[in-house]
Amino acid sequence: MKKHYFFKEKSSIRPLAKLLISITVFIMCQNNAFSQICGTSNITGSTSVMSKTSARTAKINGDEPIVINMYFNILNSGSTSTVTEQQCKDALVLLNNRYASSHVVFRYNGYRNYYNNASATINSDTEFNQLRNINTNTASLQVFFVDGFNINGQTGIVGKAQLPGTFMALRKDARDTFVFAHEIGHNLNLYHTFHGQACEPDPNIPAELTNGTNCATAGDLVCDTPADPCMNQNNVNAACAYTGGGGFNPDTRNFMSYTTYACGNRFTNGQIDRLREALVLNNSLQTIQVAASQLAKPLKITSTRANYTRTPISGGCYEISYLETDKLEFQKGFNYTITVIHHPLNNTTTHNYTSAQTPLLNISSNSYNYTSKITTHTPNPTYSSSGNAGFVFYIDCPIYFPLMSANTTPVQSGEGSNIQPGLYLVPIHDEKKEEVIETPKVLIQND
Amino acid sequence: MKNFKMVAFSVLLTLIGCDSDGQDINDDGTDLPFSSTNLKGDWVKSAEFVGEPGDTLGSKTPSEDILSALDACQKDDIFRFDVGSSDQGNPYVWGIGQIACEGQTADDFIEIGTWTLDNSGKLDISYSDVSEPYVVVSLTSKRLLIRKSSGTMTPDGTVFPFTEYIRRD
Repeated sequence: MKKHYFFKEKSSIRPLAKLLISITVFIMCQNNAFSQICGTSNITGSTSVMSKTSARTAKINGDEPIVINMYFNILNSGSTSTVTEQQCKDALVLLNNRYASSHVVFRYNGYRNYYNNASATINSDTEFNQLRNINTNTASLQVFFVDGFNINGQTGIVGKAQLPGTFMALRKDARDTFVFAHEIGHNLNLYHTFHGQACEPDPNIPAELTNGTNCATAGDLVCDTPADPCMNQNNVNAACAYTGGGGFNPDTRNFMSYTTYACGNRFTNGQIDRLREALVLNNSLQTIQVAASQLAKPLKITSTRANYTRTPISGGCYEISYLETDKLEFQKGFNYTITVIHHPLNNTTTHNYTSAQTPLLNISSNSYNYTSKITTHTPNPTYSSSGNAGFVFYIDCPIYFPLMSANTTPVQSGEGSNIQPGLYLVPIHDEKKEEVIETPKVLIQND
Repeated sequence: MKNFKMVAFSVLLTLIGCDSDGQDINDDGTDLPFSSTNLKGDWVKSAEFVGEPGDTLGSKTPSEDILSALDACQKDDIFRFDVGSSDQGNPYVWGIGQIACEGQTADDFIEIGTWTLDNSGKLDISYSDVSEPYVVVSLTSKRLLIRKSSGTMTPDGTVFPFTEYIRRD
């Protein structure tokens, strides 16, 4: 078997070239511009290159949560949505469970439907690659749920992903299967466990030998995944045993193989190291990551009003009162401890949620501070903020604006203002002037 | 001292600027538009290295020379960018060349995937359920330089794997 190198760990450069490179590197080391290569401490601000490297290594090898923003794009051939937002959130819970051992966590960052889309089925490599032009937001890993694939005559494809990269497509009916984790694995630089074998030859990476002795430079480039001779659903039995023989003992449970839906349930430690390394060192995977604290931030805060009253008083003004309640929704799938301090009494309430519950808080305090802590991961992702709700009372007086577009200059209210005759809107605002509650029309006539 | 630096630097670049047989690979240097028609054909690796973006052979020192570590049987491998039908895609074919490594057959050609290229230079090579993104840095009638679209962040900046090919056909 010939040797193949692409991303070599160690190069065996020819002696003459080695000598010349050594000479050149030595010369360059005399120049300050290359001092970093040569191991000279180069202080940038207060952080040395050495400490940056150590921090990266620690992050790769540690259990610190790495949080990835994920955005769901639903391609619909018709005019109705075929995957709901809740179904996306449910799929995300399953995905996070499958990645739990890696401490890589996916944060829900949005959902969008595309209607009457001719590309709800991916019909070519070009169509797949053009998905990156549909949603160009680089702050999230873009997930596209599609009807299916028909690429180069192959209709059995369930998912497809950039390797490495920031977008992938998955058949809608497979969103809850491990194939979702498999495709994301490609985004995070994982190869198939059978990479380099006859079913997926690579000029730069040879097949892994049965005994695994070339594992560092062959196959999936991960040493704790055994050689996989293109295992597929036809040679894995109901007990998840490989029946293909040939002296191979592939991992029938591995997410990055083509095992059965029922059997795929794990990444190996080596695969976890490789994907975490990609997340720390690969430049294209940086913009999709967010601070761990963002995982504990509410996905959505909605305000509802109850007991609304509006009483006319003098001068065309109204007394308005209502009870406002803030609803804070957090991402499901983790254990939470959420502490709320209610003002002005400063009483504290603590709310615990398990990963099976959807954390929802209803708060009606006039003002409040809250701290949300996810206890599933260590160190605990923690987010703190504040809000205002409770009983609201205020007096709203009219502010006049021209009704018709022809009257483009706002008319100031109050004494001394010269209001031109005409038909006007009299908007009644809420307290924050963000919402018009009513827009009665008022006719101003000449005296 | 300065002259010595220049000499050593030039020798290194000359070494990398030749293919494995020491053949001069210069062409007229006219850049071609990035298109399937211009990429189509058989190519052989003439250099493979890790370097910074904007690298072209002869302008910067690659931080790691990969090609020199390859066996002779790999250096004559052929990479064929074929143009196929719209419903079957463009075949990406690996040719073994005249020197076969163990377990290979000389002059064997294996279709290993498909490829697409847009006019901005985005080159995507697809196989199984995977698409690997590359960037075409330069393309002339005789020379092709590509790099992976994503690189590795190091304390000195982000470096990318580059591969240079010369046209065989």
